[in-house]
Amino acid sequence: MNDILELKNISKHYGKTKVLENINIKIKNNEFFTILGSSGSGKSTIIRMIGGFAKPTNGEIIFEHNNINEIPIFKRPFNTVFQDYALFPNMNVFNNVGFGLKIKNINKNLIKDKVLEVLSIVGLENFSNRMPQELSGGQQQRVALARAIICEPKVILLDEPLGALDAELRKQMQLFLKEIQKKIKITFIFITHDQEEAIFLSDRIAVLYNHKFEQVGSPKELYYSPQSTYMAKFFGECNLFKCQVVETYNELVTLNSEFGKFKTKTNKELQIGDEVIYGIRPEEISLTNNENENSLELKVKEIDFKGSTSTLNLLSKNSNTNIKLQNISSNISKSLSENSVVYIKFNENTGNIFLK
Amino acid sequence: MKLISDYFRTSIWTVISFILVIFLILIPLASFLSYSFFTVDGLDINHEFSLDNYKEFFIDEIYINTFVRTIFLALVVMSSCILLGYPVAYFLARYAGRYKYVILLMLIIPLFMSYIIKIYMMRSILGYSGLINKVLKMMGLIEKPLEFFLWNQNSVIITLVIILLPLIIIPTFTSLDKIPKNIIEASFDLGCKPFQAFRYVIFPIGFPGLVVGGIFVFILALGDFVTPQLVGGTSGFTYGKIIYSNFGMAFNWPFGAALASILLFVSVIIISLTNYLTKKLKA
Repeated sequence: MNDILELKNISKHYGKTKVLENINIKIKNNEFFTILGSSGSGKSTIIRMIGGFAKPTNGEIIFEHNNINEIPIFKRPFNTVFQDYALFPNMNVFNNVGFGLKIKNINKNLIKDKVLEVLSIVGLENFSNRMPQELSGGQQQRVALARAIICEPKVILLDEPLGALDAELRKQMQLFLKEIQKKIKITFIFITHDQEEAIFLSDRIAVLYNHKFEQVGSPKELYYSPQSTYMAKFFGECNLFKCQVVETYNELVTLNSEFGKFKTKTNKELQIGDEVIYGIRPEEISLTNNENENSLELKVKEIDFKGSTSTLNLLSKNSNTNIKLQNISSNISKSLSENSVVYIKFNENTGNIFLK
Repeated sequence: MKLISDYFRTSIWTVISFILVIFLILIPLASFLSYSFFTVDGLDINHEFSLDNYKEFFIDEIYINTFVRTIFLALVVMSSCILLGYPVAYFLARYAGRYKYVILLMLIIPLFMSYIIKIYMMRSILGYSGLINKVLKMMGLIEKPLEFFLWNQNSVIITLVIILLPLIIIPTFTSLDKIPKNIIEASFDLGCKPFQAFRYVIFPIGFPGLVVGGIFVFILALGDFVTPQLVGGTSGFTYGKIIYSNFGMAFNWPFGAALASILLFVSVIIISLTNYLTKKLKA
């Protein structure tokens, strides 16, 4: 896949306030690209700079190999779906959707055909005479999307489009967005603060933290191979604890922790004596029946019964660090009680090592 | 279930509001209308039904002529107010940033001033030895004072425009200021050049405010009689002044009431027509 859009060393400052610092990404053609960050992290600013509503303080926005920093909004081949829809209150659904074509002086009959076609894509073919005020939030959202799609932009920018919808509708619209994007084959740059939403929708996700991208990659890459402790805790839970490297053998290292020694694989260059942080997700840890070479001994602190499965909260022998296990069959956990001793095992292929 | 006392309370307020409307608006209007069907006999009012007053309005050319001329004058005042006020409201709403409410307040302050004082002020600016003539003379542009803007229609128009200008600016500003920023951004996003954004989005959405202001100015200019009295001279008299003189000087209340009823009737028609057209334009 070819790159369609590139942000090169983009920085944005408002006066003395630094919003973004050295943002670099390449967005591929036809991908569903999500920028994920908490509110106030500057994710909207990125999309506004791409759309032309804001200018970067430094850096270049490159579209199909051309710098578009100075191209005005109305000449950029992008369209935006705004957070609160921004439908024109003085026009009905038909005119809202057809607006982009009308401005380009396209033949009226052609506009009519296109509008009806796009309205049927978003499932609103019977609503063309309604005014925006007469539609529900989800319907307004569809109109806003139709209004962007009809212009056949190279990129559609979606600025937290589902933020104002209730949970149920949000789920529906997520599914709808994913299907539409596959159907019309246009690059989507999507903004959200919702991790689950990002994982569900995206081909790739860029996580914005502390003015820059902490990590960019597919949802699976971000989940299974986080590059920092922040990323490890970002999607779901992760047990993080300090270790010391005691032995290295090719890509197999032995780490010493409060829980004891264990082996794991890594592609990082480590020296004996290095202090590192080891991270493993609660569902990647398994209980073993008895003590063996690679198992660790812990005692139970808490058992959270959740029906068919339970969550275990374990403590190291000297009671300083705890570790969490999820999705333990309740069949097993019911034989345990507080302070009973258990043995756990980390699979050598899971878990991540972070340098301090 | 609603409590009985709730019903009682609601109905009391409904009754009070109806009483207010009936006593303060409908009854005076009705008595006013009934007066227009009476005649005068010397200094007495003859309380018999007659259409003479209305006949006189249509027979004597001077009334219809003045009426038409006054409508025309009100239209000129309204158009001038729109031409001057709209750009002010527009720039205030879109570009004045955080100072916009301060500037707006400064525009509203003249409304707190007495209307009469403002007219006298205009007289002292427009007069023979007024500010404008003095300045022009000092600059050597004219030798004797210009009469173009005193004691005629022009001075009435200028004075009314200046007095009524805030009434256009305020509602227009309010409706333009309410337009969410992202709606304007959306228009650019969909390919509008700045003028197109104005033509298709900003102007239509802000239009109702302009209509309200326009109606205010038109109706007030149409019925005004103090301005023509004080700056209009002999050629600058208006329909409002004729009504005023029938009540105040000729003591012909029935005829004055008839003239006023005609004005009211025409005003109501104009307002309804504008409303209708605005709604039609929106659909």
